Amino acid sequence: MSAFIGLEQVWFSWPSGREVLRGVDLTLQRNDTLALMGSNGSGKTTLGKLIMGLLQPTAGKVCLDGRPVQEYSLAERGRRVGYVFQNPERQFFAASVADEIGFALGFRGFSPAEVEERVAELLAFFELEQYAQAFPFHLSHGEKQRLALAAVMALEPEFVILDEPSTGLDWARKNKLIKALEGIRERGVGYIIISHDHEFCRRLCRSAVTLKGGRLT
Amino acid sequence: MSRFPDTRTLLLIVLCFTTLALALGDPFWLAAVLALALAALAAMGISPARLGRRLKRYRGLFLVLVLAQSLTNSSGRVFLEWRGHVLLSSGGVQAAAAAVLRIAVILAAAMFLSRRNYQELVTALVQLRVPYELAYMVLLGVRFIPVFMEEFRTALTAIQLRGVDLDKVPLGRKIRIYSYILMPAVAGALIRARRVAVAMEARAFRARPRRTWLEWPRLHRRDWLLMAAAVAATAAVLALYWR
Repeated sequence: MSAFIGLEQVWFSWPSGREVLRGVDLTLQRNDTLALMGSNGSGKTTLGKLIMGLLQPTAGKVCLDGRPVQEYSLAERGRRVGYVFQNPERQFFAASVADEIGFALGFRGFSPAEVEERVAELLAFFELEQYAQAFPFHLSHGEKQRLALAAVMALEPEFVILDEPSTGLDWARKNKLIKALEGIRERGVGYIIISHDHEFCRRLCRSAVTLKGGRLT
Repeated sequence: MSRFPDTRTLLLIVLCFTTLALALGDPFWLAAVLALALAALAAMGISPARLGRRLKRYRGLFLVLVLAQSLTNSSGRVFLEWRGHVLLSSGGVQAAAAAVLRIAVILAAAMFLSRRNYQELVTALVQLRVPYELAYMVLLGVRFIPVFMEEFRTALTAIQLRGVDLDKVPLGRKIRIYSYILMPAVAGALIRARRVAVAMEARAFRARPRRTWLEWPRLHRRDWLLMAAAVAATAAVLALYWR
């Protein structure tokens, strides 16, 4: 079975010359759940962006479902792999929580009734019903994380990449996020969690890799 | 310790070059002013190659400018015509070249200040009698421009990552999408402005009517000479051009 996400000898350096990744190999299937760990500045987010094709490797190959990721348009990549930014606020652009979740559905040809139904379902799943008409920027950090995830899940992606999803969350909010991610895993959707929260990753991921000195261990 | 040239001297040089960029309309004159600006930058140890990299970023804008000037200015010799409409003429080419060179001169002029940090710029503006609060706010605003640009780019990426293929969306919907991008940038700017205001007040910004300065640079004789030369050269160029 060919890998859904495949990285082959991926090297990456910033234009300044700082080498971040040195020959990274990684293979993931659709329903894999992986924790990508490492200290600050080790290149975890960079690796996530390389998988999404938001950055291009200096050398090596990044493939999505057997094809180089750059062969897909940004929209195609987004439809197949959901990406939750490190700062969820940076991916909001609608005036209300409900609009934020339903944004892409309207563009994908869903009827208004279908959009409404799907949005209601996701609001309930991510426990955001009472904020349906709230301005996304006014939510708490935990709610913003769940909203970002709900907006990504509205597209029914085959895989999700979450960048530092537990940062700044207290125990109760972290548990809510864990519950939501467990639900996603039960649906057969795999994910990569980029984090240095060992306990959070241990509860959610079947495997873990650490990025150190530009290599995965 | 005072640096040479003083930041006020550099501000005057920037003013001289931007005045020339706006006043001159002939591409040959503008090219000469650009050459002068590049030579002055090189003399100050600022690589003119940096201007090339900056100009490269604006190539899309230049293309639009050239097309717009070619289509709207039909004077002079006609090079290209379609069903009685002049598409390219010598007047259009000259106007387009002048517009591009004008931007190049302004960008080159701004590079004179590239080795001054914002504190030096604030001090210079205050020494030029600009109220401190105003000088500080203007420079704070300027510092946020790259942040806004980055936010626009991120929002555009985020929208496409939600499965919206901008290349395949009809124009009307595309405009609607671009209007969405404004929202996070404006909201982000307001939120950031509020946070910065609170942080500044928490650090006693404007708590006292007078403030002290760690450095209060003085103008040297060389600065006065350089300023006089810059003003005289600008006046001479304008006098020759308008003769």
